[in-house]
Amino acid sequence: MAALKTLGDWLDNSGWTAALEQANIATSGKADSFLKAMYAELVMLTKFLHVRSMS
Amino acid sequence: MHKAFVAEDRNDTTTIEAWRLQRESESPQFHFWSMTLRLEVAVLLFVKALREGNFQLYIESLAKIAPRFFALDHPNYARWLPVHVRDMLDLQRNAQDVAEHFRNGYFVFNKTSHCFSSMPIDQAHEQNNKLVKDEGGAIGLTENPMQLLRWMISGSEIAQLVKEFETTLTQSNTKRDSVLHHKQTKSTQTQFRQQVIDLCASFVDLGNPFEEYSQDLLAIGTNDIADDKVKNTVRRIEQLGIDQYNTYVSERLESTSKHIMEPIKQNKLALFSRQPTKGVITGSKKLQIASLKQNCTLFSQLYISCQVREGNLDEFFAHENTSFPPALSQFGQLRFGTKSDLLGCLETVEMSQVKEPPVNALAMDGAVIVNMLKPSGCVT
Repeated sequence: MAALKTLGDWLDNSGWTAALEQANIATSGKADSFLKAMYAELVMLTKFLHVRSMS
Repeated sequence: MHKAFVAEDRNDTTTIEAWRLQRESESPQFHFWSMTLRLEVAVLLFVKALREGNFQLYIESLAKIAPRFFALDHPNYARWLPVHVRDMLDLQRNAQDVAEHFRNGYFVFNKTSHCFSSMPIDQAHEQNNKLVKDEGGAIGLTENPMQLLRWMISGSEIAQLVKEFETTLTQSNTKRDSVLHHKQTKSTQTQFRQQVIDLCASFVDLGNPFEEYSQDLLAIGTNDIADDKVKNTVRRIEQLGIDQYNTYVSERLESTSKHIMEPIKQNKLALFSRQPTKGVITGSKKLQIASLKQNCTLFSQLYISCQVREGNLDEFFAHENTSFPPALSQFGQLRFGTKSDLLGCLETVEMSQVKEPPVNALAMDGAVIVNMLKPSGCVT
């Protein structure tokens, strides 16, 4: 699903990475790379959400 | 968004959905982030559908995402995703057995018994390819056809043997009965909870986009105002994508008035990352601006340090203070200049003679003579 980088195109330069950086979730470079591979980030997030909903 | 909804002073009977629609029409900033939230939820549902093998959710989430491929110019996905969605929807009519299996979760692949760990079949293929390739892959084998053929035949068998051997070794250490996801641990939950809290706090610090009332579209953090064309994109992208998706389906899949391979027109919408530039800046101009900015930073730093150390500013600025003096170099390259430019300087030192002076003898440089001779039939 490389096409999910569509979401990355949409969010690029919007300040999304700044928010991730300020929250200490990712460094600046890592947050930028999330935009290039938004799928990886979303898979991670969905896993977390699943874990959370199961608990 | 919920925080902004609770904080706002309004009629209590308003539902969050009605409030969202109203606020979207009022503020482009709200509209952008509300739309992003919806898109992210759609993608999260798609990932959930794959991980859980939920076929119905898979189709629904794909249909929700597909219009965005049209709007954001991804022609290959835009062309084939509607076909895939339509095929999957027609499966019940065309192939009941397959539809039944897919509904039972067989459209994804389970490598383990862990829950929420199914993966799409193509991803499983990729993982198997990696197992077969092992370390180094097919590098070096491609030039030797016999060797490559041997590797292609035996590779999968060897990978299977290795896997079985590893399984017998690790069998005693693994909890075979466990069906929990490998990240379903307390520490992961705590970490995730903290990250969600931090991210929300970070959005509030940088300026909650859902509490924005101006007519501007801003980049969070920098507060740079986006171009009006980006604002226009935010206003129309959703409807544009849906319209193009519907037109595509009706023209190419239902009425077939157009061939499926006919080009899909690109929208080239302005986004935060693709804002229209004001005035075209050429390469040399760009370099000049960069150089000026660099000089500005350097001089301000040196000026401040000179003041702090009580240095003589006149003396300081009498010298060239860059590592590559601008008199000798430009944009990191040595200035070659034109030799005849020197004449201007020399004329100020000595007046040039217009008339030929009387001479008794003529001395000529060897190189001059070589240039004077005709190439054919001459010797030196």
